[in-house]
Amino acid sequence: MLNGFIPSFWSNDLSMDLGTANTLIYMRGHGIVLDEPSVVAIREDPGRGGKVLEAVGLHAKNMLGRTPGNITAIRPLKDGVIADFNVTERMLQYFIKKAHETANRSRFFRRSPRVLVCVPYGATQVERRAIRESAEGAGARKVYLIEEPFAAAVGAGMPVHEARGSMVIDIGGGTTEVAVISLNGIVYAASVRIGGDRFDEAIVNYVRRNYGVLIGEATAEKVKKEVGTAYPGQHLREISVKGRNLSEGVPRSFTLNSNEVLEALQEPLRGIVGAVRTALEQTPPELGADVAERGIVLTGGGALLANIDLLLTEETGLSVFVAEEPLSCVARGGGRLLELVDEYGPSSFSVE
Amino acid sequence: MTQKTDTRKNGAAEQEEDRPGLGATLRDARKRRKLSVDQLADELRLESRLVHALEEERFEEVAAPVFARGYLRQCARTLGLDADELLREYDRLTGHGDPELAVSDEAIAREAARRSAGRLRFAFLTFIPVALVAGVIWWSGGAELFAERYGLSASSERPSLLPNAAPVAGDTGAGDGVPAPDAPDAAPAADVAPPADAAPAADAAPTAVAAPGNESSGLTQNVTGAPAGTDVPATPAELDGLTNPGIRDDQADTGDGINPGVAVDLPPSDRVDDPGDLGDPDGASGDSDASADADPLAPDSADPVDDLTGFVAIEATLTFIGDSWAEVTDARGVRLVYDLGAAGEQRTVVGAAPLDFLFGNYLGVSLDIDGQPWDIPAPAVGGTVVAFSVAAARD
Repeated sequence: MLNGFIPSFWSNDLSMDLGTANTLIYMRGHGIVLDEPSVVAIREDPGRGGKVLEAVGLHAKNMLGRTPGNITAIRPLKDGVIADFNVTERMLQYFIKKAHETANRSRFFRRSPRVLVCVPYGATQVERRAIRESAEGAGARKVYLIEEPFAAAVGAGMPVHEARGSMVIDIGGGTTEVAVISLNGIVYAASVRIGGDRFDEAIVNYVRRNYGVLIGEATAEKVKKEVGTAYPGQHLREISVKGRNLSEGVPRSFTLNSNEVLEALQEPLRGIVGAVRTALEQTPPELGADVAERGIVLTGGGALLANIDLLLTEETGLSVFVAEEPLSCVARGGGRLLELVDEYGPSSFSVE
Repeated sequence: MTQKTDTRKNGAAEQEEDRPGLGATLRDARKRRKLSVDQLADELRLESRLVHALEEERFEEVAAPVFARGYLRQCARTLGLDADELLREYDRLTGHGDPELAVSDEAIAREAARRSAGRLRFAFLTFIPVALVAGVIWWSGGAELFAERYGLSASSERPSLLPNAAPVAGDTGAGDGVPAPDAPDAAPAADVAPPADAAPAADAAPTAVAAPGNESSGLTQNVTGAPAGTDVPATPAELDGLTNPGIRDDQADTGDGINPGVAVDLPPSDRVDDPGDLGDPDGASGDSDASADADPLAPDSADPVDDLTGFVAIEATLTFIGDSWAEVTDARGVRLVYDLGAAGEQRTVVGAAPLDFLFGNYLGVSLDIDGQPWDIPAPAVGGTVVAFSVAAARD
């Protein structure tokens, strides 16, 4: 009996969507308690033994591309997996501490939490182990790993337990995961390293190629959010952008419209459409019929790109729509899975 | 379909009934665009039956709320409707908010209930060991320590503690310390516990003087006035005589008046409820500094001593040759003497026979009963502590 309630009394089980762009933490009983960019700013400080954590999250993101020589703002995750182990560990420490503060959990009665971390479907064993050890180093008592698309489907409210096929497309910052789920398990999944970051890169490249102007990633992200579209719309939207003219070497301002951004995004969008097509081809016929009948659900930050559901609808001929609150689907699904793991055991849900 | 819609709206506000239902809104918008159900289904890449289900508000035919909401958003975009308005209407009809978000909302509610139950169980299970520990401490005399420390009266709690306090007192008395005679708060215990407590003290500590009141409280203190070199060799017969030195009226004619094995049998009410009895300790404590007090061995209360109706009066005269703790209790449970007697003092008391005596240093006391000398029996196991009863003067 003690094993049952003492963890629940002091411990705060966390579900973490450790994303390339953003990290979301869902705490049992509190909902989403943290949503911050996965960015860390590190300051060189020889007097204090080398590197010092300057800022994490939103503060650090504001420093991206604007740091002096002794400060480095980095994103420790790349393509959904850890690129810098130590920095990721420090970032997780900060996030877990902040999540507890947000949930008003007293530090004196706080037990180290069990943490469920969502990992890309295509993550290798080395990458999974890095994530696990990083979370353990950040203070987790026990670390569970779960495939991101499955957590996304659960968080979106799809009937994953049924003996019917459900297809989910999770477009994250670094990867896009496509999965067909049935009976609480992934029947087919694919992960392509295309996501929001690639959209930003594509916009930067397009602007440099067509305007001869260099813009930063933050500016590209702003363009993507405001006028980005994946399918031609009825209204043309425009945005004024400032960047450095490559030939003159001075800042210049110019205007981009949504059609130009659509053109810029063609390459990464084609990659996503290709992944979805491949998934549909690989899906067993019975499940494919279920998907065709019910449609496909989009989750992740990439689902917020305007008209991406229309694009996929046109390309696949299936009904595609965006889940409610697509950004937090993975974290919420992880939180629900934590409960289910307690109820049915980890093996029921392919939790490692 | 309209009838069904109306039925579902029975509980809604009247103004809401004026508006067309969700299904009707969809159907009207479709007809305005001159689309058939099949045409709309083709545009949405859905089966016609799903479009029919939406227009007839049969949402149970849709696999899950996430799909229904997705279809409604698509319908709204295709038909030029306000998607948020459609979803609000959908939520009202189905009786819940965002189904996808409900995953977390339900989880939060479940978690809150679980935590609440967990706290209750935790508090309950925490309370049990705490209560057990507190009970053990209380049982072993911790209450008296508490009472002494915080100035509370232990007299009202004393009766229930006596039987359990005795073994502890015996252990304490067996040590090298001498129980102090001037422990006021624990004094009431002396009314009922002296014989049993005195025995173990005499048993293991030849030079110890046991004061039952103090033994019961578990406190010991050296008696500075005790004369040195008062060790007395013990014999088995003496030990027997000390084990139960009480005496009764009906057995007073056995032997020389000492009746081993018979305890003074006082009713509990006499021990506790007699105000004079309870008043004794205070009086004794006030007189505990024997050298400073004019009459340290005075009877504790006048009334109980004077009222001997129904009892055989017996007079005892205590003459102190040396310092000794003295305690005399009569058959009514009235404590006639309870103090340290200094050398050279003499005290005469009258009480109801039989009288129970306890001397810490019996060699320092000479006793006269009804004017006749009385030989104080030596302790059974040596030492100077002796307890005995006297029913009547020896003929």
